[in-house]
Parts: sequence; C-alpha cells; structure tokens
Amino acid sequence: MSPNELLAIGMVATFFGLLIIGIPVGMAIASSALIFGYLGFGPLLFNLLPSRIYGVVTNYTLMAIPLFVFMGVMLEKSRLAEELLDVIGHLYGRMAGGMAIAIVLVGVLLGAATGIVGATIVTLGLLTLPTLLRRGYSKAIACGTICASGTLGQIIPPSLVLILLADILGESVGTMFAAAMIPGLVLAGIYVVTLIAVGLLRPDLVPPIDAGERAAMSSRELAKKVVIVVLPPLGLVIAVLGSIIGGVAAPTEAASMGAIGSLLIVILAGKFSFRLLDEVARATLLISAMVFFILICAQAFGLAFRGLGGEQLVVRMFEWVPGGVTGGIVFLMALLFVLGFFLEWIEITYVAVPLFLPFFIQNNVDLVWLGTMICLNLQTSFLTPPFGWALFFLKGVAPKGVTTLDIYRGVVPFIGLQVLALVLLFFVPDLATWLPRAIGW
Amino acid sequence: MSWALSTILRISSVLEAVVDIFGRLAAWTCVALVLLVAGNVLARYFFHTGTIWLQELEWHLISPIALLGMSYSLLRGDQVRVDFLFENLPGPVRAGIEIFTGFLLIIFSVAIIKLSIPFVYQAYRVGEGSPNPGGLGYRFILKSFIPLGFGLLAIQAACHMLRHSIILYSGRS
Repeated sequence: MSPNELLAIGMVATFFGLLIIGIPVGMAIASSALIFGYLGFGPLLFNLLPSRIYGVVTNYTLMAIPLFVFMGVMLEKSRLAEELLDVIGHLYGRMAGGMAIAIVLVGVLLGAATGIVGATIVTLGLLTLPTLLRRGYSKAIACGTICASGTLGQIIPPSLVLILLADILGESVGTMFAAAMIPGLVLAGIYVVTLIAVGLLRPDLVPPIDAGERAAMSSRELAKKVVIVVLPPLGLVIAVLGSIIGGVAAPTEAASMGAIGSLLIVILAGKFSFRLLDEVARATLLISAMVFFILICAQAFGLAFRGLGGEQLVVRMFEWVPGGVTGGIVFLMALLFVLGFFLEWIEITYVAVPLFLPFFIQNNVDLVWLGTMICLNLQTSFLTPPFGWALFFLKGVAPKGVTTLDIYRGVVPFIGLQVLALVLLFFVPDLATWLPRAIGW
Repeated sequence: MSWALSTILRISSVLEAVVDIFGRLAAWTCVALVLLVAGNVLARYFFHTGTIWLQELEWHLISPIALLGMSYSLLRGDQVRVDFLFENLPGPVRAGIEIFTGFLLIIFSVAIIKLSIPFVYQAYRVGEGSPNPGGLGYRFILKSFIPLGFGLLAIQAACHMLRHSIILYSGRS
C-alpha cells in the first residue's frame, strides 16, 4: 500500500473522529480533506477547488433543492401538513398501530410532494413525534416510523435522487420515475404490514387513539375534512409529475410548479400573510444552505480522496470479487450499503456509482433495474447509524427526552425491511422494469 | 475587563447584524427563484416566449442562496452533527468544541478566499460572460460570491468563537 493510500485511509478515519466528538458534519468533511490533501500533495491539489465550488453553486439540477424545500416548508409552516396527518390519524385511529400507519401514508404523500428527505422528516418529526409519545407509543417505534416514512420521498417520484441517478446512468428522468414507482409503493406496503403485525402482537407499544377523542369528530365531518386536506398534497404531486409527463416543464423546472402550487394552495386556504412568506423564505434558506454547505465541503473531500488514490483502492476491491456479474451487483450493493454509513447519497451517486458503471454496461446489465436498486439502497444510507441524515434531522426537532439511542434503536428494524425490499427487487426485476415498458418509455 | 468584554460583544453584534442582512437578502432570493422559474415555465408554455437571460438568471440565483446562506445558517440554524457523545459532555468541553469548530471554519474560509480570488480575477481579466447570444455577462460578479460568502462565513465563525469563549470564560453553560 502506497503512502498516499495510507493517507486516504487516515483521512476517512479522521473524518470519523471529528464527527464523533461533535464537529458539525460539513466541517468534519472539509477539515479532514484539507489536512490530508495538504500532507499528500501540498497546496497544489486544491487549486481546482474554486471551480468545483462554482460548479456546485451554479448546477442547474441542484436548483431543484431550494424549490422543493420551499414547497415542503410552505406546507409545514401553513400547518396544512399537520391537518393532513390529523385526519388520516383519525381514519386509522381505531386500530393499534393506526397512527404509525397514518405516518407511513403521509410520508408517501408528502415525500412524493416534496421529494426531499430532510424536509419530510423535519415536518413529520415536528408534527407527530410529540403526539405519538403523548399517546403512549414506544419511543423507538415512533422514531423509526418517522425516519423510515420520511425517507420514502427519496424513492417515490418525483425525487432529487432519481433525477441525479438518471443523469448519471444516461436514462431519461421519466423512465427512472416510472421504474421507482412500484418498488417505492411495495416498500411502503411492507412498512404498513409490519406495523399491523406489531399492533396485533404488541398493542402496548402502539396503542390506539381512545374512543372519546375519536367520537369528538363525527364521521360526516371527517369525510369532509378528508377531501379538504388530502386533495392539496395530491394536487401538488399531480402538478409536479403532470408537468413533467405533459412536457410543460423539465424535471428541475417542475419543482417550481410544486413550489408555486404550494403558494397557491396556502393563498386559497386563506392562510397567506407576508409574515408567513418571510418565515418560509428564511427556513428555506437555512435548509438549502445547509445542504449546499455540505456539498461544497464534499468537493474538497472528493478532490483529496481522488488525489490520494482512494479510487484505485475501491477498484482493487472490485477485482477480488468472485461470481461475475451477479457477484458484482451483490458487491456493489454491499459496498453502497457500507458507504451509506458515512457518506452522503450525493457523494455516493457522484463518486461511487460512475466508478462501477462501466463494468455493468460492459456486462449488459439493465441499467434501469440497477438504478432502481441503487436508489433503494441509497435510501438505507439515510437511516444507518451512526451517520444517517434522517437521524440527524429527526434529532434536530425531537422533544427533550428522546435520545439519539432511541432513534438508533428505532431505525434498525426498518433497515431490515429495506434490505428485504432490495432482495425482492433483485429476484423480481419486473417490479422496476414493467411500468416503464408498459407506458412505453 | 468588563469594559473590554462589552466592547467585544458590541462589535460582534454589529458584525452579526451584517450577516443577518445578507441572510435576509438570500432568503428573499429563494422567493425570487420560485417566481422566476415558475414564470419562465408558464410564459414558455402559454405564450411561447422566453428570453435567454431570464433562463440564465435562474441558475445565477443559486449562488447567493448557497453562498450567502452559509453564514446565516451558522448564525441562526442548528448545526448538523453527531451528538450522542457531544450532548453528554460537560458545558466547558462543549464550548471548547464550538470554539474549535469556529477555528476550523476560519481556516477553511480563508483557504477558499485565497484560492478563489485569482479565479474571480481571471474571469474579470478575460471578460468572461455567457457563451449564448443574449446571455448574461460579467461572470466575475457571479464568481465573486465565493470569496464574499466565505468572507461572511469567516466573520460569523469569529463571532461564534467569541460568544463561546465568553461562555467558557464565565463558566456558564
């Protein structure tokens, strides 16, 4: 092993060390990169950094981030998302585990509407975690459900991950959207079935809403509310997906249809004020800037990792793998899973995936199928302790008394369920490839 | 000593007010982005019109959001961090880690400012603009958001260090 490769390993180790003692993520990435890049190359290596940063902050695809965040924050601050959850909770409140199932369904709707994991988890966490705990849900199950449901937005189209993956794989965005639809819904279905099972076996962990509270709302009133609160997010999904499919807007632009749509809904609901807009604008900035800052820091890390020969390390690992194409796929999935412990999905999609792609193209692997598996797998990277983003986001908004360990404990079973969905997709490729074929993309 | 302390605090309040102004500017840029992109899409679809420079303005607006937003999120936002160890540490150690974070931020910012000034100057010298006819020119202005953004970040990081030093010094958590 060359000295530089040792430095590459040292850089990753330092990154871990800084993270563990509580240095904010972006700074941990950037500092370890600066130190080890400098040790290996001196100052020359980073001359490329300004143009890499410029590339990030003028990237047309990434423009979707502030637009989607705006839509999500607008739904959250105007309390429309809260009402949505409340109503669906009442619909399912009778059964044990009903609130948790409601969260999965809201996760599907909100996730599809916003497509941004951070925004969905923050929204779900803020709105539901206190309620769930008050109603006697186990902390772990409440946290796990919120994190897992929040990450559904990542696989259910329209989503940022799918847009970026389509770009890298050379497939059309529409094809990737269609391919991810069924696997995403299957995953949500697996969550629901599991929660029903928990409700049957251990109702004490997921108690139903008590009868008195349910009786306070008549069934007619409930039916009316269902229409009023379920329609707007559904309308947003249709606005975003419809404008892509109907050829009105390119996928990035479609995010603006969702954003302007959320603004219209809030105006129509009579909840608009300039104060609200100002709050939404500032929250949008905080979330977007956080994502961009980490992306910028990741540029330094990517430069240093590449410069120090980290890529060759990865390629050499690939050469050891037995079992041909199937072995390669299994290895890629295992590797992405492990990388997901400490890298962000954008880094994984942009650094790791292109590295392995030629191997799979050479062996005629169906890229749509492979891409969907990668997407499912990346979703897990949001959930894996200790560094999954979903966990940070939820911790950021969790009430006092919910510890990081509660959250860790809660997501582990859901990670198992995601692996199950991945295995299912591996053996039944039609789950991903049937829909794009059927609509002729 | 307390006179010196209050002067330092006053200076850092002024600096934070500056960061705040840039932050508000960037926040409203998000609103402008939403209206601009949606407006372009609708104008193209319904009226079949559109101009190159308005199209280009779309991605020009990402820079102020991303780069001016960094310092603002250090001022107003929560830091994304692994906290299972951090939240169990005693107050002074936590303040120490915050000070260390500020120190790292300043080093990183200064490094990027130093690297990006030739980058901006190069764009100015050759008069870099859009390759498209009717596109936006003066690309050095867009590029100078990099040193500006990291300059603000360094300032805010210094304020961050100061505030946590005072916490460390006065022994409060």
